[in-house]
Amino acid sequence: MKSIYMKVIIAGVILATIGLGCTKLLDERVYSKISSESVLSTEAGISSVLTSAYNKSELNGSEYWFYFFSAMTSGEARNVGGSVSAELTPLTDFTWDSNLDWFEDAWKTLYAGIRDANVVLDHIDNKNFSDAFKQEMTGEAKFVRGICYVYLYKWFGPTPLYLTSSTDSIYLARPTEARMVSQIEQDLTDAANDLPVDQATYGRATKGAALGLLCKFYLNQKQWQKCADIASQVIGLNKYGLVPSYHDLFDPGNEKNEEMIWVMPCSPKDHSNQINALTFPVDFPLPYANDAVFAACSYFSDDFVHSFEPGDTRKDLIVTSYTNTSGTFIQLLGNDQSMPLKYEWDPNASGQDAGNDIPVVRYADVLLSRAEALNELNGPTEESIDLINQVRTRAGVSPLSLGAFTKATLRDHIFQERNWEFYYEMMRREDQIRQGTFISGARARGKNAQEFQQLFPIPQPEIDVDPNLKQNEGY
Amino acid sequence: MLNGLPALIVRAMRITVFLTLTCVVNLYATAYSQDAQLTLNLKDVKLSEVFSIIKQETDYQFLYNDEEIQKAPAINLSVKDATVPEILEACFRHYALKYKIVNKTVVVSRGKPKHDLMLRSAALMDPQFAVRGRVTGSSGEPLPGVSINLRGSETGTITDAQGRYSILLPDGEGILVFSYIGFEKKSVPIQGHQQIDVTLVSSVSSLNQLVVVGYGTQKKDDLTGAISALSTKDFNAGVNVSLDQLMQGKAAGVQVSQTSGEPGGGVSVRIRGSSSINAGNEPLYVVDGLPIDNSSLLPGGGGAGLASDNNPKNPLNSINPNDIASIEILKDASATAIYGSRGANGVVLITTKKGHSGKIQVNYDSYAGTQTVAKKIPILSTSEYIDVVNSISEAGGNGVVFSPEDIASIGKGTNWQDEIYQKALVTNHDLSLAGGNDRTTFRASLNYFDQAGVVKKTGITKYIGRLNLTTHVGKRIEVGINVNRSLIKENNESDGVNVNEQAGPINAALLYDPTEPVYNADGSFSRSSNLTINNPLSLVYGITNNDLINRTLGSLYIQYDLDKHLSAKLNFGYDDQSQRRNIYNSSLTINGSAKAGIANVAQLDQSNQLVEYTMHYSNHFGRYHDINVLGGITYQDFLISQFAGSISGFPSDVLGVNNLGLGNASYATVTSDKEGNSLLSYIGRVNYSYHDKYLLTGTLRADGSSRFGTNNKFGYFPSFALGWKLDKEKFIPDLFDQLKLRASWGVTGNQDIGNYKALSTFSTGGNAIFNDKPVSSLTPSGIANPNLQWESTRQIDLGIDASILGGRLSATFDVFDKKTKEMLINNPLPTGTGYSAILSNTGQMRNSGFEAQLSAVNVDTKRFTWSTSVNLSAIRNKVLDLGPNGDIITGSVQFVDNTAIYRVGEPMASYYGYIVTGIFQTAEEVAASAQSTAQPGYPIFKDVNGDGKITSADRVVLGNPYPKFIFGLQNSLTYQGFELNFFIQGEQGADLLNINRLEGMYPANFRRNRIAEQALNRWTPTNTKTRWPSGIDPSAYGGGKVNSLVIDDASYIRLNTAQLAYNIPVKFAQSLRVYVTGQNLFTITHYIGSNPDASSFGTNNVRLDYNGYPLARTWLLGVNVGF
Repeated sequence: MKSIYMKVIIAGVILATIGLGCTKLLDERVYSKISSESVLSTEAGISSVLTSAYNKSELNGSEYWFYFFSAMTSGEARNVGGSVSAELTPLTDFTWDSNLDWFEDAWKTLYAGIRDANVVLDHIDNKNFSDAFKQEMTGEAKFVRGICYVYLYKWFGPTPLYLTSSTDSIYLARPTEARMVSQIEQDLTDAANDLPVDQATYGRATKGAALGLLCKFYLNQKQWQKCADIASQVIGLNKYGLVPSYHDLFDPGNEKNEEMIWVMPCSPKDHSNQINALTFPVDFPLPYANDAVFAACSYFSDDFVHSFEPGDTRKDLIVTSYTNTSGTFIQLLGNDQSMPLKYEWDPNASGQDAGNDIPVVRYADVLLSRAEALNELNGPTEESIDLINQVRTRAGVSPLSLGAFTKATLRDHIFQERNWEFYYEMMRREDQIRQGTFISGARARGKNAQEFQQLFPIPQPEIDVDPNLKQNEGY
Repeated sequence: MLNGLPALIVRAMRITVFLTLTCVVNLYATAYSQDAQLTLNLKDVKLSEVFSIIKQETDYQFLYNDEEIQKAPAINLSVKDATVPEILEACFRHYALKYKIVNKTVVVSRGKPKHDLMLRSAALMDPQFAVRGRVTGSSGEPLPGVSINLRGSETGTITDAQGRYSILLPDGEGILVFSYIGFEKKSVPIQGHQQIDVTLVSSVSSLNQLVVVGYGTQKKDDLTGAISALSTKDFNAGVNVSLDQLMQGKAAGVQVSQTSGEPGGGVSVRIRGSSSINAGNEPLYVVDGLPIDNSSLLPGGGGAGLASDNNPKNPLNSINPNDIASIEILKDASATAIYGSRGANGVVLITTKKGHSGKIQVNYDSYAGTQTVAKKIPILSTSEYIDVVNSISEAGGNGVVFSPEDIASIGKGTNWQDEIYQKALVTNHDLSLAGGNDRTTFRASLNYFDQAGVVKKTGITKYIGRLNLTTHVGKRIEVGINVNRSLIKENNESDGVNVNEQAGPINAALLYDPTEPVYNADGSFSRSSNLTINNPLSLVYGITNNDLINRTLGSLYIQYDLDKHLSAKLNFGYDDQSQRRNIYNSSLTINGSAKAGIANVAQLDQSNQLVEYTMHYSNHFGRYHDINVLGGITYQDFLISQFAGSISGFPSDVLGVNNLGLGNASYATVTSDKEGNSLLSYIGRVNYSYHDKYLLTGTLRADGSSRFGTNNKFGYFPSFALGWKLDKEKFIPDLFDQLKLRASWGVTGNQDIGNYKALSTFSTGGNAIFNDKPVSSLTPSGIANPNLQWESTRQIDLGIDASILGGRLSATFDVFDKKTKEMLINNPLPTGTGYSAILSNTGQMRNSGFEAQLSAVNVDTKRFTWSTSVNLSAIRNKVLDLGPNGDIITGSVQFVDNTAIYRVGEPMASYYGYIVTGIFQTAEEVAASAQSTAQPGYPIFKDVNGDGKITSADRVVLGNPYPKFIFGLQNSLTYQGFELNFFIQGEQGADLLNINRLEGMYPANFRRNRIAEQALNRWTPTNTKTRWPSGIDPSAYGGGKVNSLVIDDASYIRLNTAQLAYNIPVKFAQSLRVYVTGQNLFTITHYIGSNPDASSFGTNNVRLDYNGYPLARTWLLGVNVGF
């Protein structure tokens, strides 16, 4: 009997020895992910995290949200058909609620960009990094964080200010209006101070981009003096100007032009511009074999097309009729079905994916912003009329004269001018809010719109998860 | 030292007393002592002396209790040329003792008292009648160790290695009963015959059947766990392209769903419900002792402008169903706890066929057949379509679409489903060789299987080879090797859950305008100017999507018997798979032409290695104690790596993916990934039996996994079980052949949580565009959770096994309760942190249910037999806890989001959406409703919270995908050489979200075709008593809202298989069998899709049907010949 036990014991010892020798085998073997230390201790790693922040500030390259959030709610365009219409109808009809996925998508993506920017800012103080690198990264990270908060504020109002990548305190409440505004001001001002006027790399933030964004932020804040001052600074950089032809502004062959202060850069390969694909119908004769469209169509109303002054070249970018692929002539104007072809067909498109950059701030906008601010501050002046006329002249319409306007009529004209100048550039919603016509306009279109709908609701999942986060009034 | 052990034990357990009064021994020793024949003539001899003599002259050993043997009265014994079993049979018929022979060890135990303890030496000494014969299996192989008894007496013997026996009987009357583990008992009247040869048929119901359990085998009668054991005759007949389909409907508590009808398509297996939200729910598969990685390889579709989420293929395709000898399904914790952190979803043990010693058996099986689509989806015909489109357009104030001239020129139009479907052929050839001698046995097989799919250009071709070899080196060492090698070629169907131009042929065929012709006048594929969907046939011919999968699966073991009680086994396993997927989307399609051809090549390599050392001890102590102990250590290491490249912009489609360099390099993308994980485990199990009545099993597995957080590297999974063989108790009437109660408790785990979830790392983020070029980035992958661990499932099972009438009627009932704790939940974080969730062990879920399995031999005559087996199970799933944040809403298919909800108190992944209470009939009804902008003919959504608006707050649970019960019914009839089998299975009470119906409710484009019922029976001012809305401006009435109209009842009853076979008696072969099999012959269901069993996301918890590949109705003609 005893020798059995001996054997069992010996076998047991063998087992245990094998096992003890094996404990290292339970370490995680990581092959295609990088440890935090190795990323955050090198300039290349930090820079790479910042690249991710840029990506998210551009909503992962999904510009539709900007387009839909503005174009559908402002009545600028009407979308028909396509699978997307199920999600667009609530925006068009003012029946959205806090569960609309795009709200959560936008929120989540922008905050991920803020997180990445915070990671950069939290780890930039490293003795191995050069001072130039530190300044550049700090400036760009603050720019990205600033622009993300600008979008959040624009859609949702004041949102929690996450200013560090630490996850120690995560259930934040919403800041006051003033705190939110000052944070955005701070980030963009800091960024403008740190950033160079010219960047070797197109797509990286510049001083002008930070100032241009700040200018627009002040405009929407109705901080007229600051808006006018910052606009002056942008103009004073002597870097920007108007492209002579309105058509060429949006031509993919004429990108990086002097008018674009900040854009969402697009490429057919990634971050593609699908606006045309979501606008034109299946039977539209596409100029290039490599173009394609979706089932969805977007239409402008006849009223808007007819509103242009005679000779306005900006109107030429709106398609009012066409002969379809079966040879049938289709009249669009007269049926509320005109279609904007602002973004010229990209010869290098890859199917529905085109490479036309989408402007965020352009020089014409800075000019009109300063004009609007000056009008609000001083009433019509030679300077504000002159600013507007720069934009009008380029469009081929006759210049305005000072005597024709009161403060109120010039204000109205500026908004009208902006509609002509910036249609399909995701600007109509914020302009209408500033003008005070966002809700009344929707009601005039027969929508059951309510004042509180000037802000979108905080996405429901966020409300559910953060007990300190209060929903916007009315939702 | 090792060799001395057996002798030592035997010596220790007996008292050596020789009291030889007279002793004449004649020994005819042969090469194998098993065949030794002795002539004995003993008078007044003690039993212990008989044992000594036998032991001296043969290599039999004895185990007994001295006291018992000493009490036994002396006997007279006279036999001539008798084998040891014959001698023992003669001795023991006079004692209140039982014995059994296990590996030439005779174990003596106390039996039931005999009515006559007196010597009947006259009968003993004068057997009058000798019967000899041979016992073989159904394919002619000799069966050694078959026990043969004269019914109603204690006379008996067993067969030798050649299956031969001889038995001495009082006379030529009575009935001989042949019984053998794993085979059906057979009774043969002697009727004066001296030569009786018998063929036994393998069986499952035998109580002595050995059942494969984790890391060993056990007698079925000794099981304490809930295990469904299936052998070849239980398997589903017909085209079973994977082994999990063999068991569909055959085992209680096991739900096997063919989620896609595509050849080689996915199968979902749920054993006793779904117990996890974020970890896997599929069982662990163990092939001949090797736990395999059964995760699907490359996900379906992906890239090249195709659907990204189509149903992944079945990873078990690489095993030939004809190679399977048995499938054991371990269900309760007593059975599965030995697999610890992988046991919570049940375990499927697959045992492949092995060779037998004796003549080489050659078996060839071949069948061929045709498949047709069992059910097409009823969509509008061309004329109905024209009528519906015109009427809706007119009702919407837009005039007719088709003028009478248009209608005349359209003619019959096109039936797109008919265009993409075909009658498809299937062929199978299977050749196996099995044989061996006493030392070495082998079985080798080759399988060729070719199945075209019912969707044109789809199909699967398989080449599978297997070799199983076992050899004995010396007396103590056994070496075994099992190797499976497979090559699979698949032509994939490109459908998935994508829409519009991304959709595949099935979706396109359902939606494409039936007034369009297939071809243009010039012979090219037509393309509708009204739709962004592809011409369905241009998808069939325009997209090449194929896979090549290689898999080598094998194990090698060395088993060493230290002595007859203690053995050690070293087992190495290896499983290596590689898959290459080529997709080319040519310029025949919308996407392909826009991008001038899109090529996508993906390569995946996945492997794992197993090293395992186990020791096994079994012994019998004292009078009543039987003990079996297992201990071991096992280590398994997994590695997976992937590479994918994509490029578009080809000058020509001719070369497809074969020259990626021809593409436009500026549209090229490459990705790669590599992950590894490992498991280190200690296992232990004790089986103890007292008096062969009371059974106790205790199991413990300590599992270490690299996936767990640093604070929780090891998990411990114990189980205990009790069994009570009531039939052995005096107070239970003799009626029962078996009556056993089982009770078990245990904890198992689920470590299928993905890799690196406990770490904080950086992974690839999105690209930013700098200087017009995408630039890659890094982004934090998540917040580390060092406490992350396995999910643990506590399971209680109570079971009863009963059998009466000599096994003709048997039943198993089980009730169980499974509670999963520490369930992995993605606990949402405020996404302001940049992270949306942290994986934490916070949830709880319950699965409880009832299972019944009944089998009966209804008729058993010489010419006609009829047997029936039926199983039924009812399982309830309920989410108990989801951590601090409550509801989790999930599930999306392109334009439809949030299809399912995890909510405390509801079954998991219940359908979530709006209730439609009716259709608005009048403007007054609209005005009084919560939908002020609606029109008559729009659906009325229920304003659940009564706030006067229809918002997402009005969504409720609409149903769930779990059947109330599932059942299977098998009937087998034989009449002389004919056999008829038919198998019916079904599910009752499951709901299924039918996305095709939802798409028909909200056509994204007016010119799309629709499901007929919804369109023809739509609301109009004159057709008001209907549940389907008007179809006018559908996006205005609710977009892609999941609603109660599209949650369908997916109950069904299906004649799964029917087979008629005839065994032709021939001279040239041992057996010749021809058969005709019909598969999926009819289905009774209200479900409107092609398959109520479908699930577009494969094994995912969120179940919905979208563009399901239809099931085929198959007819096969086959022949099976054995030499």
